[in-house]
This record gives sequence, structure tokens and C-alpha cells, in this order.
Amino acid sequence: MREVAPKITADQVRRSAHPALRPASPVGRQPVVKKGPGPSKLSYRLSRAWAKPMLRNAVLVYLPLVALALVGWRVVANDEWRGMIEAKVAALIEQVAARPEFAVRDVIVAGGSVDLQAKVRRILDLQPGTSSLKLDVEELRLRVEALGPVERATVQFDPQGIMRVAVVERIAVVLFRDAHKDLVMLDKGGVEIGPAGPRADYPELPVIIGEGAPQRVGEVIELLAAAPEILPRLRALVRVGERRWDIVLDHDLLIKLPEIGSIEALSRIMALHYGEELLDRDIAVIDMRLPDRPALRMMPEAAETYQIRRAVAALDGEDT
Amino acid sequence: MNFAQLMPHRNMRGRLHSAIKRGRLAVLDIGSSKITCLVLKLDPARLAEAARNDHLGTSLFGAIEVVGARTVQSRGVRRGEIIDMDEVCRSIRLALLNSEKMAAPKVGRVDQVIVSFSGGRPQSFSTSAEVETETGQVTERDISNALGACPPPPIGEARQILHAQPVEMSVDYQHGITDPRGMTGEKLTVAMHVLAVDARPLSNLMECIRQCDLDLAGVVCAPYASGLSALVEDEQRTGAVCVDMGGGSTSFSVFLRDHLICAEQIRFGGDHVTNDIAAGLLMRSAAAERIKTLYGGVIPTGADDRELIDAPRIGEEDVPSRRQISRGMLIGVIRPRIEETFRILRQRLVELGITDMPGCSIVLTGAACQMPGVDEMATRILGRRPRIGRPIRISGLPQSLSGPDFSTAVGLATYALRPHDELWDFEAPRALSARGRATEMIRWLKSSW
Repeated sequence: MREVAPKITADQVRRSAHPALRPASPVGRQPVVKKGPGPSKLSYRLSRAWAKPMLRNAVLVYLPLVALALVGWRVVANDEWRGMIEAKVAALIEQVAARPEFAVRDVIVAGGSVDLQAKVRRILDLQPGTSSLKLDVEELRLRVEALGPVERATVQFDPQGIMRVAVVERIAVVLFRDAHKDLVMLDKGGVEIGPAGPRADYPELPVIIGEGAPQRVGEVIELLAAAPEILPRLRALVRVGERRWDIVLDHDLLIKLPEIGSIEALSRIMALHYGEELLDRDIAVIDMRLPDRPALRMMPEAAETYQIRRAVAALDGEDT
Repeated sequence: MNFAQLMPHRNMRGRLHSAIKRGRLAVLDIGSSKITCLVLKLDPARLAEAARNDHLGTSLFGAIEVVGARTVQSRGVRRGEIIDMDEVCRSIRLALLNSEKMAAPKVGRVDQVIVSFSGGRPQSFSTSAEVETETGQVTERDISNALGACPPPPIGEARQILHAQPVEMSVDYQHGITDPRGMTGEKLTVAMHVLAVDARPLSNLMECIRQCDLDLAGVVCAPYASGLSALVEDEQRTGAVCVDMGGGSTSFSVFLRDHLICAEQIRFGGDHVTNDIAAGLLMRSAAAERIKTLYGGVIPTGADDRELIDAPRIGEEDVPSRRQISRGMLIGVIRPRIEETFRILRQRLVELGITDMPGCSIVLTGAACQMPGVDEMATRILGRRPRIGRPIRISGLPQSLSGPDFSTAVGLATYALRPHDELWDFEAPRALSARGRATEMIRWLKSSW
């Protein structure tokens, strides 16, 4: 056995002493209750009750929900509070919308004439600095497309704050003299572009007249394409009875085209014109309404002219 | 047997079934030195199917999973009996709350609990009866009648039946019938094993569980539970003795043909060894327990005298090396107690005639069997080489809880899997009173349509 003789301190003596010999604590001796570790009955019951999903859900989910609903109802039911909250929210939205990141900095219009672009800008009516959050791009597009000269438009707002508007302008192909004798420009689909100025401003555009004429602009274009030579002499195309065309050339020459096969009829006339200079003669009316029976009507003075022409030819010694 | 007396057991069975239906159950092994709580997650569908098909529980270990486990020091329990209810309740609360906390992600709160009862001087009785079958074919009614005809064993004053299991049924003296229903025969013989314990400690235990706000789903005799988990299936069939060497007492259970046929308690345990060391060497119990677990042994060897152990006297714990003893001296203190325990065990086994049983293996389990040399000592005294039985593996069981000292706790879990072994799982025989006849008629009508 190993002999060890450590120095025993007074503290050790005190600790190892019998409880009765220990110095009393300043507060007085407390009863020593020796209890094993473990939860008390109350904490045990509470923690087991807490383990029940029903109670836990009730406390953690339903109770806060009910409280929230009650508070929410109180707030909403009180007009003053609700007004206050609404004002606050509106102010907040305003504040966010007013940030420079959302401002429209520029409007770029592409396509169309300069006049049209100016018109588009005017109709968009965007001041620089307008918040993009308040703009409805689709509505702007419809507004642009509502303009007569605009066929299609796209409106885009890019993240750099630039409003890009691309327009496709309608091209005037005919003038239409309407019931009020005003000249109106029509595009190839017969859509009205807008009022035209004096007739002399548009020498290259044919004039069409008559009820139902604007719906048949396509036919007009086809007719004129079949006989481009008549264009300089053309005074007007008249829609008759909403079913067929009359072509009025200068010198009061009237070509009556049939309802069906008008292009063929016109081609025949042009063929005659090439061979016989039909259109240069003193003819008042070329009636092609019955394809198998074309008819010509002379000018009243045509016979006289003919006599004179023959006499002149006889004088010249020419046999006609 | 009087079925009316067994109503409390029948109620506990109902709670066990409801626990299985809910899929969660706790088991509490209340021992003298530690309390172990396991929270089990059950697969109700598999268990219900097995109950219908009358399977033995052994194929069902996959249907349970340990999701929470906790062992705490037991206070207020001596020799498996409660001496301080407040302390015991406190320990149970600690164990249960902690294991519930561990199980919380997988199962909710558990309410039903199966507990072990390791004290109360268990005593086994056997009783049997023979009845004529009513129709020449064995029906459930015949079995009920036979069980009812078994004479109640003389369990004595202030004793209570803890287990009552039909262990043997024979039809016309043909033995070894596991399920006689539907078999043809004139005579049905039923043998039953009845285990009785002291009623007062048992009711104290039940009161403790009640105070902890738990529903008692079963009370199992501790050696039976250890046998269920420490013995393998074949041992249970061919016959085995499971010796559960606990802290407060040593108990043993005898299994034969898949049934418990005997269980008894010897009131010596590991704590007595500690007390011997503490008294013999004038030490504090904690220090004695420490040197017992670290250096203790049973068989002396030549090297023991050279190995010195610090054995501080009472009051000298500050300087543990003040006194040193040899390991041989320690063994000299431990050995007589263990030897005595085994001698009593041998005497009991001889008295019961179990040593004459052929192929009867001995399995040591429990905390005290971990001391080196205990199996050697058992070989010398019992004349057979024992095996150290560890509990069967069930899924989710922590490694720290899979030693031989946890066989009882695991056995309780496996007991939950066999809810059709006991007498109270059978229907009570109907008395032929007027009311009985009326209910019988209703039953017959119900079963006909």
C-alpha cells in the first residue's frame, strides 16, 4: 500500500464534515430535500399536453389567426383608421411610382411621315418624367392605332425608360369624293385616311365616286393596273348602283364596264385603242355592259368632223 | 378459472389494441437500478393482419420500430418493488419525457404503456381441465368452456394473477396442438400456466403509472420479458432457462414449446454485490459500484494479486489512492454472493425438475451477467455452459441499449407483438342464464346473416 500524506486543507475538512458540523449559511439553515432528477408533475403535465397536436395547433395556429382576424376586423370596421391606412398605402404607392427609375425619359417614334410622328407624339401626350407604372401600354397602342393614317402600331417601354413607338402608316391610293363632295384619301383596303386638300395636290391619285365605292378600292387598283395608259386622262371612276364601274375620261368620254369581267372588257378597249386609237376618237360613250354586244355612241358633231376630215383628205389627193 | 376476476387484464388488452391502432406505444422497464423507456412506432396494418391469422409475434419484428429511448437511474425501487412512489414517478416522468422528445419527429404523444414488474415473488402454477366437445368438433366455445373449467390455482392471500396462458391443448389426448379450432374430437384438454405475484407491490406500480397520466396497456413479469427477447425462437421451442441477473434481484423464466412454463425470482442481485463490497471494504456505495463494474470478477487468476485497485474508505474519496486493494481481494468479496445466487438457482431448477429436461439451454442476461467469469461460475454450478443472451435486434434500437442489460425492455416491445397469448384474449364461457340465451340468440342471428 502506497502511503500518501497530502496536506489536508481547512476547506477539505469543512467539505468532508458531517452536515451537522458544517457552518450555518448566513440565511439560516435550509431543509435539505433530496430529490432525484426529473420534471415536476406540473411541468410534466404541461409538456405532455403540449405534445398533443390539437392543443399545439390551437395555440400556435388558430389563436394567432383569431387574434389577427379580430384586430383586422377592428381596424377595417373603424372608418377613421381605414381611411388613414388607405391614405398611407396610396402615398406609399405614389412615392414608389415617383422614383426616377420608373420615369419615362424619352419617346421615340419610328416609321411614318414626320407629320404623322408629330401627331402620334401629340396623341400619346407623354410628359418627360411621367411614371411608367401609371401607363397602360396596350391602351396607348390602341390610342395610336385609332389615328386614321396609322395602320399598325407597336408600343414598347424598355427598361432604360424609353417609350418606343413603331407605326406603319397607311398609303393613300385613291381619292374618294363623298356625298358632301369632299375629297377623302383612301388606302388600298378602302380605309379612310383623312380629308384631302384640293384635287390638284394629288395629280397621281385617281378619284372614285359613288356609293359603295370605298369598299371596292381593290378593283379600282386592278382596273388601273390593267390599263395604265388611261391614268393621265382619267377624271373619275364612278360606282354605279353599287355593282359596276363607269370610267370617266377627259373630253367627256364615258366607258361603261360590266359587273362581271370588267378587267377583260377594259383590256379589249385598250386593245382597240392600241390598234384603232379608239379613245382618241369623237366617241361619247363606250358601252361594254353586254360583253357580246359592245356599243359606241358618237359625239353629236362627230359626223360633221368626219365630213371635214374626208374633204381635207380629198383635197390632199388621198384616197380614204 | 374465474373470468370475471380477470377483467382488469381484459381492459389492459383493450388499451393495447387501441395503442396498436394508433400506431404508438411506450414500454417501461422499471428495474431496481434503472428505468428504461422505449417509444415504439407500430405498423397497425401488419399487426392487425397477423392477429387475424393468429401468427406468433416473432415474424413481426419488422412491424415495430424504436423511435425514442432513454434510460435513467431508478430511485425508490428495491428488489423490483416500489418503496418511494414519488421518486419512482419522477424517474418515470424523466424517462418518458426524454424518450418522447426523441420520438417527437416520428410519433406524437404516447399514452399507452406496457410496464415490467420485476418483484412480487412470482410463483408459477399449472392447472388443466378436460371438457367434452359440444358438437364433436372443437369450437371456440369449447375452448372457452375448457378454460373456464380449469380450477383456479391456490395462489394464496393478497396475490394476484399476472399471466395466465394456455400452454397446451390436446384433443382426445393428442398432444402438441397449437390451434384446435375445427378439429374433430370428443375431449378437449387444456393446460394452463398461471403466474401469480404479490398484489400490493403490483397495485403500487399501477398507481405510479396512473399518477403519471399513462394508460396501462399491460404488466409483464420481467423474466418473461427478458426471455422473449434474449432467447432465440428455437430455444423457446426446445426448452431454455433465461436467467435475468438484474440489480435488485435475479429472476429466471423457463420456456418450452414457445410458451412460458415457469418464472421465479431469487432475491439477490447486483446491488447486493455492491452492498457486500461497500460493507466489507468500508466504502461508499458509489465507489463500490465503480470498482465492481471496472475491476469486478468472479473467477480468481494468478495475476489478480499483482493488480492494485484504488478503494477509498468512506470519507477518503478526496484521495482515492489512500488505500489500495488487490483485485483478488475484490473477487473474494464478490464471489460468494454470485455463488450463492447460482446455488439457489440450481436448487430451484432441480426442485422444478428442469435440470432433467433434455436439451435445456441456459441463457444469462441482465446487467450483472456482464461481470467477467459469471458464465464460468454458472457452468461450474449449474453443470451446463450458459450463453450470454443479448436482446434481439429491433429496428431503431440504439447501440447503447442493445446490451444484455436491456433484454427486459426489448422483451416488453416484443410482448406488444403477441397480443393473443393470454387467457383474457379468449372469450369468456357463457353462463346459460336467460339473458345469456337471449344474447346467444342475437349472436347466432348476427353470425347467420
